[in-house]
This record gives sequence, C-alpha cells and structure tokens, in this order.
Amino acid sequence: MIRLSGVTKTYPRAKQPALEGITVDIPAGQFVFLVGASGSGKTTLLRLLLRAEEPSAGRIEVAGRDLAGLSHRRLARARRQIGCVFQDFRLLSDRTVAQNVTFALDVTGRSRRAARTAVPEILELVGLADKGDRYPEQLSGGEQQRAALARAMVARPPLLLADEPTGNLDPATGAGIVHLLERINEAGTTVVMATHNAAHVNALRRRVLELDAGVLVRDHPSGAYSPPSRVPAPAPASVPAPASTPAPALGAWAS
Amino acid sequence: MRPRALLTALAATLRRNLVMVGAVVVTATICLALLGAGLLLRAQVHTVNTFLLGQVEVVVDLTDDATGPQVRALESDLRAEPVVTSVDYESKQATFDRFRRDFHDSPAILSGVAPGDLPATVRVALTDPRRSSDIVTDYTGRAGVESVRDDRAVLAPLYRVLRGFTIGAFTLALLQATAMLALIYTLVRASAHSRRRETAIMRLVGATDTAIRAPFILESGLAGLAGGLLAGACLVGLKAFLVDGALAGETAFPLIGWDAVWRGVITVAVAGAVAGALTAGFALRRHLRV
Repeated sequence: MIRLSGVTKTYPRAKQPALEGITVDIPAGQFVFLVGASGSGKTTLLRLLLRAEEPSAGRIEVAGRDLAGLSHRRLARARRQIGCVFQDFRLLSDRTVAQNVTFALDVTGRSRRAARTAVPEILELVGLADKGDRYPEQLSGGEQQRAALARAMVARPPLLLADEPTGNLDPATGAGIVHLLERINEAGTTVVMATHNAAHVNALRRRVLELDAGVLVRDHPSGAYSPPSRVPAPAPASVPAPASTPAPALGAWAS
Repeated sequence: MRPRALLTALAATLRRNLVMVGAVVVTATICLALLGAGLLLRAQVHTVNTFLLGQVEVVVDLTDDATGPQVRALESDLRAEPVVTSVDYESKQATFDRFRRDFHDSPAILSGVAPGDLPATVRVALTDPRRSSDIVTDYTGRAGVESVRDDRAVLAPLYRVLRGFTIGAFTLALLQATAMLALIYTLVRASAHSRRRETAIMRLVGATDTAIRAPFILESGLAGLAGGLLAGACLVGLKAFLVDGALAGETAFPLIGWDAVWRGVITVAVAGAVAGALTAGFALRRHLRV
C-alpha cells in the first residue's frame, strides 16, 4: 500500500532534514502506529504521503502509484484513495455533520444517489446516525472527530492517514476513536496513525514505526511505545504495558 | 464537481462577498459602458465615412475664360488619375440649376444669385475621399481653373470631434479597466482567504484543480458579465434616447443603427465575463494552492 525508499525531506532554510533516508514498506491491510516526539517528523511523513509536500530525495509509492510527477488531475485521483483525519478535526462550521460528509462526495463528482446511501451508512459506522443534522459546534470533541472520520471514509478509500487524531481528546474519548480506527482497519482499510500517546500504542500492539529527529529508529511488528523522557535517552526496543494503563495526560509529550 | 454542488458553493461565496461583488459590478459597468460608447463612436465615424464615400466630390471651378481645349485637357488628366472614378462637366446653367435645387428651402439666398454668377464646374468623384487633398494640390492654379474645392474639408471639424470623443472614451475605459481588474483581483484574494478551509478540504478529499477553482472563476466571471449587461443596457438607452431621440432631427448625416448597438452590447458583455474570469484565474495562481 505504501512504499518509501530513501525518502529525505529538508525544508527550505532548515539546517537539519525533517526526515532522512526513510525506507519502509507498509502492506495493504496493516494498522501502523507512527510514533515519536513532537518534531520527530511524523506529520512531515504523512504530508509526503498526501503529496502536500514533495520529498527532497527518494521515492514514494502509495496504492501502487509513484507520487512524483503526477499531474494535478492524477494527483486528485490519487488523493481519493486516501482518507485523512487531523487533531483539529477540520470540519466546516457552517454545514451540518451530514453536509460535511456529503461535501467530500460532492466535490469529487460522486452522484447524489451515491451520497444518499453512503452518508447514512458511514454515519452509522462511526456512531453518529442520529446526529447528522447537528452543526460541529453542537458536538463534543469526540463526536467531531467521528464526523471527520466519516468524511474521510465515506468514499471508502483503501488507506486512512490519521495525524494525532486523539490529540485534542480526553483519554477515554481518544480510546473510543482508536477503537473505531481498529474497526475500520478490520474492514480492510490500511491505517497509519501518528501519535505520541503510549496508551493507544500499547493497548493495540500493532506495528510501530518510531521516528527520532527525522530518522526511522525502530520498526517493530507488534511493538509498544515508551515516549522519551525530557532528557533524551535511547528507548528500549519494546516496553510491554498492560492495556489498562491509564493514558498520559493530554499533550503530555508536546514540546 | 457536481453542478448543484458548484452552484451551492457559488451562492455561498457570492453571499459572503456581496459588497465586494457589488463594487466590481459597478466598476465593470462604468468601464464597459465607456468601452461601448467608444465602440459606438467608432461605428458612427464608419457610418459617416460610408455615407460620404458616395457623396463627397472634389469640385473644380472653372474661370469664365476657360477655353474648350483647356477644359478637355483637364477632364482627360483627371480621368487618368487612379483615385478618380468619374469626371462630369457642368455648364454655368447646370451649376445654377443644382444650386437652386440644393437651396430651394432658402429663397433669400436664391434671390441674390443670378445664372451668370456661378462658374462652370468639373465635378470629380473619388474612390477614396480621404485622398482628395492630392487632387486639390495638383490642380489648383492650372490654366482655366479658378479654384479646387474639397467638400470633405468642410467636414474635418466633425471628424475631429468624433475622433476626439472616441479616443477619450477608450482612454477613460482603459483607466477604469485597471480599477476593475484590481478590484476583481482583490475580490478573488479575499474570497480565497475566506474559503481557505473549504479549499484545503477539497484538496485533501481529491477534488480536481478545476473543481477547486471553478467557484472563484464563476464568481468573477458573473460579476463581469453583470457589469457588461448593465453597460449594454446603457448603450441601448443611449441609442434609444440620445441617438434616435435628441440627435435624430439635428444632423444631415445618417446615425448608427441598431446593428452597431447590438454588436456593442455583445462585445461588452463578453468582454466583462472574459476579463472577470481571466483575472480570477491569474489571482488564483498566486493566492490559491491546489
């Protein structure tokens, strides 16, 4: 589903590369945690997968397509294969939940009829079947993230990128979102979730890719995550943690 | 993007930018009305020119002592000129008859002129009346020739006024066009800024470049078209009330017809829509990432 070979990204006027020599292969159907401290390059990696940024070097393939040199039209088509959610939900405040979800189908030319069946189905899946006519400001944070997930998944993309989707949520609500992502993954969608919340990683025991200062320092098939302390120290290869461990406070590892 | 979704987006952006769009429409109307007025003035010059092509002649007044051979030599020389289409000799009596015909409404003038007072003439029609000065220069002072008159010279002030107004209208239209284009550019920039979250989501979910730009381009194109249509209405009003109303009885020349007006209306409407859409496209290149 995703293949990166020797990917490096250096932002203009930056002294250090944001990502350096990343080579990784994520087969279809995997659930992958992308972990690391703030500034380690997680978001840059997700932006490269969306081609919101171009790599300085290396090759990126998503869903069998080399992202380099795609025309505007082909890039738009490639992005329809990818759903995305973010920490700040990014819902349109002047539209209801159902309209926010329908928007994704409308602007990509899907028929009204397709929307009439797809939108209620996806709202049911994310648990917002009865809240389609609410506006974002009338929803809790967790519900807003569910609405964002519904929008990302309504066109049934084979890949879902989630950038700190629980970052603005309390631990219990965050766990609910992770559970929803797990269900989406079980239905066959490849999920890449960037997080620095150890509780979520440790609860699921899925593949973990850990970035440190732009370098891929760990790739474990069912790893745990122990966020670095304030004084950086080498992380152990795998730190087991019981699923019941309380999640760290919101934004505990934010710089 | 589905047409209905496009219309929804368009309605939302028009509502949000109502004041700005209004300003663009007003500016576009003034600019395009001036452009249209310039086009109509140019059409008027053309209309007068076409009329004069069949009317204006160079008239050679002969002296009373001009001999037969002198007149015949004059006629044959004139016929040899490439710009001359016809040469007609009029005797003193024929000239007097024409004079009576032309001024039959003015008995005061007629009463003061006797048949012998007017010279015999040679009337010369030209392929292009604008080249009459060559004939005037070449034949003035020739034996048997009293004077060479260019009827067109009488009309020079009229041409000067028409040309002056045309240039003035086009210059003002150009100045107003810079204001209109600057306003459209600002409208699109403000519009792109206020819809940045929406366009960011459109990009993420895989909307095409065209779908993302379309509402902005349509918004400006429609504002330009509205200005063009209002300017067109001004041109129609100008023709109906000024040309056909006030001026119709005031001039001996034919005035522009409705065909020229409709051509002007279509030109300003299309110019408004195209200028709006093109400026929006240019502004989007700078202010909208796709």
